[in-house]
Amino acid sequence: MENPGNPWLDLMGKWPALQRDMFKQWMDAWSKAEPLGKAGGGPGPSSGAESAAWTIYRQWMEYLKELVGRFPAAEGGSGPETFSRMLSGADTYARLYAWWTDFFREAQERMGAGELDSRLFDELYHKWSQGYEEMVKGIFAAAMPESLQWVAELLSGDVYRLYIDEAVHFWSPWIDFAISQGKKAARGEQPGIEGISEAYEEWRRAYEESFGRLIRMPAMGYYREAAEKFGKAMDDLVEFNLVLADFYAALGEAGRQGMEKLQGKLAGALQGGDGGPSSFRELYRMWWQTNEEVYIELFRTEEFSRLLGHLVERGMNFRESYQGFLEEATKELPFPNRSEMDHLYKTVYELRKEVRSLKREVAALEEERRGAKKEGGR
Amino acid sequence: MLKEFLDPRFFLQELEEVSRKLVKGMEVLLTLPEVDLEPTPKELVFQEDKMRLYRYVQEGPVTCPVPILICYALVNRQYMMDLQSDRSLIRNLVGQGLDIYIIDWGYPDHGDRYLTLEDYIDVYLNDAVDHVRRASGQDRINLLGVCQGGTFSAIYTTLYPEKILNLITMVTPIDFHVTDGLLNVWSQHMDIDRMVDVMGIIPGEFMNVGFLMLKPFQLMVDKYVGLMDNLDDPATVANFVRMEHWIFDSPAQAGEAYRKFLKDLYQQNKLVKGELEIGGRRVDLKRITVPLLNIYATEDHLVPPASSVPLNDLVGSKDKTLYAFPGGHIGIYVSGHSQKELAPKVAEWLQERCAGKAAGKASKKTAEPGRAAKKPSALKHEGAAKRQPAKGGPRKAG
Repeated sequence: MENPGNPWLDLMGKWPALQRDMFKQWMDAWSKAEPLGKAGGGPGPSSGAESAAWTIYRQWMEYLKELVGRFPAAEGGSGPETFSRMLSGADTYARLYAWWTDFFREAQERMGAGELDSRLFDELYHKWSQGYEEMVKGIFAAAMPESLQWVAELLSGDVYRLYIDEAVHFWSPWIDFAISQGKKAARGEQPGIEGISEAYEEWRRAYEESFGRLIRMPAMGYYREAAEKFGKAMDDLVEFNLVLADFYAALGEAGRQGMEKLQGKLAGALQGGDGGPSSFRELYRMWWQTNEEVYIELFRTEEFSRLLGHLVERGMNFRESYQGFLEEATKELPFPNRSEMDHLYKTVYELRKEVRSLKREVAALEEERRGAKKEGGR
Repeated sequence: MLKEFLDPRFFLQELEEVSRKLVKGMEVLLTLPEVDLEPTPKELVFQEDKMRLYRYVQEGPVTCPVPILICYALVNRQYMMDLQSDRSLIRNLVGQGLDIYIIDWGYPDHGDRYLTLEDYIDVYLNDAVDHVRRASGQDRINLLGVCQGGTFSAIYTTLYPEKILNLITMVTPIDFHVTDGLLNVWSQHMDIDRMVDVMGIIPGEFMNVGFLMLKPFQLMVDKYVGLMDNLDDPATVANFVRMEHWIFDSPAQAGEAYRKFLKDLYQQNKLVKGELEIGGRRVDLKRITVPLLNIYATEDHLVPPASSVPLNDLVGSKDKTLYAFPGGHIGIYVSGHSQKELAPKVAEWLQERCAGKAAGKASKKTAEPGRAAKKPSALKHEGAAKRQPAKGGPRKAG
């Protein structure tokens, strides 16, 4: 059955004309657009208005809007209104994509030019977030009833800005760390003892300014003490690992020197023509003895002795704080902890001493008594 | 030479030889019977807390009526001196007709963290000395201290000179500020208080890491590579396993005693300065006036000779002997040279200072039941089956 009131039925009659119109619009869009790839492939604003792909996309979208607008609204809500919403959704999606690609493109370009650091990252991120904020407001505000538009404000307003600020602030030390290490690697710097120590020191600074702050954040509630002790233990573990890295770096450097020394010995033997190792066993002997010399030389130094002392001290700090955390975390369990046992050991030790002393006194008194008896008997 | 080494045929020959030894070695390791330790028979005669006092069974004639009490270090175990029957300083000393007692300090655990240096010297060592004095009937006995036990013995002799007839120290650290020894150097920057406060007792493993670092490649690499050369010889492998067992049989250190030993001696060198105090009494090495035999090892990497030698200048003794043993800290007990030379030297030195010097009242008590002199050849028989049980079992201190 035909429904004469339905404009969609007329569509069939107008179909050939529509086809022609659509083809013309498509070709126009392509002919007006700059050649693809000339201003970048993405649809973002930096390549945005000037971008070939972006131009084609927007022109085509506008045409589609105009096209569906030619048809009157149908019953049941379908028709131009529905298409308009769909096309608007697609537009939002494309704009969101554009914000991201712009952000990454600029960051990539700055990084390539060696300009990116946490300050610039902060600047870029804020620029991007400002645009994002406006876009979210536009999308949500337009879609929501007036009474609920505060939700859009929540997602894009001060709270959102605070979140962004904190996130940027949290990660910026790691960006600086990664960039600094990347630059060193690009320069082909050899990580000697100092290099490794410096790298760990930089790592520690990044940790201190990010996760370190997070771990030291005041805890609350029933497990407050355990959480704080855990945080302290983790801090101490980081400190221990830093010195451990220095320690291994020192050992590694000695290993490198040992190898150089061995190479020197072998080269000398080759040039002098007076021997060198005649078997693998002999080469092995040269290897370990040369290394032993270098390591002992290192171990004798004041610096190594201090480093070892430092390592033990940091190890003790971690052990103590971790022990403290374990005791706190297990205090409800039905067994005594180390501190309680230590208290008991101390008591037992003192009692033992007292008993020993009393026994000796008793023995001396008995001896005295026996002596007195003997004398009395005479 | 290097040319020959670079020739792959030589390398392949070596590889083939090593592979053959490894295969044979695997067979040896898989069939190796459990190794025996401390083969010289001994009996437990006294016990106080974890400290045990043993007396070696003397089946031959006693050549010196004054017994020797051996005071070993708290680090590692005393059976280094009696590791295997053909390399046993103890067995050789017993064979020389000496009456030997030895202290086994045991394995301190967390319950022992509050034991002090005073407890070790004024209580355990003193009670062991008193027991030996009582059992032998001698007012004064011979004291032989090994390594840290030598330091204890020297300190003890200054505090109780009336109980000691002769003092022998072996590889004993006295001057802790010599820079030859890495342990001396490293200990200067250690926060000992922090270590003891946190750990309570210092684990043996912790100490062992330090000892291995003294000769890292020799002790952690070459020792095991060297084993490969003899992996096809069961006797050598068994010796190696015994030594390995001893090296890693490391008792923990009682915290408070460790604190004082490291701080007062290693860090502040108070013994040499005459500033050390034990139980409120100052330790003055000049108070040692008994004959002294100070034995050190010329190649000692743990206790450098420069640390041991000064003792002879610091004591008040007129009769003092310095004896340099050509070897290392461990070789002094297990090397072939030690077996042939050291035990006879110690015995000879003691015997010269023993005759006629034993306390008069001792004669009644020296010959305890079951201790009649026998021919030295009887020493060849050893093991638990030959042990003479102590009469009435071990005496326990109060």
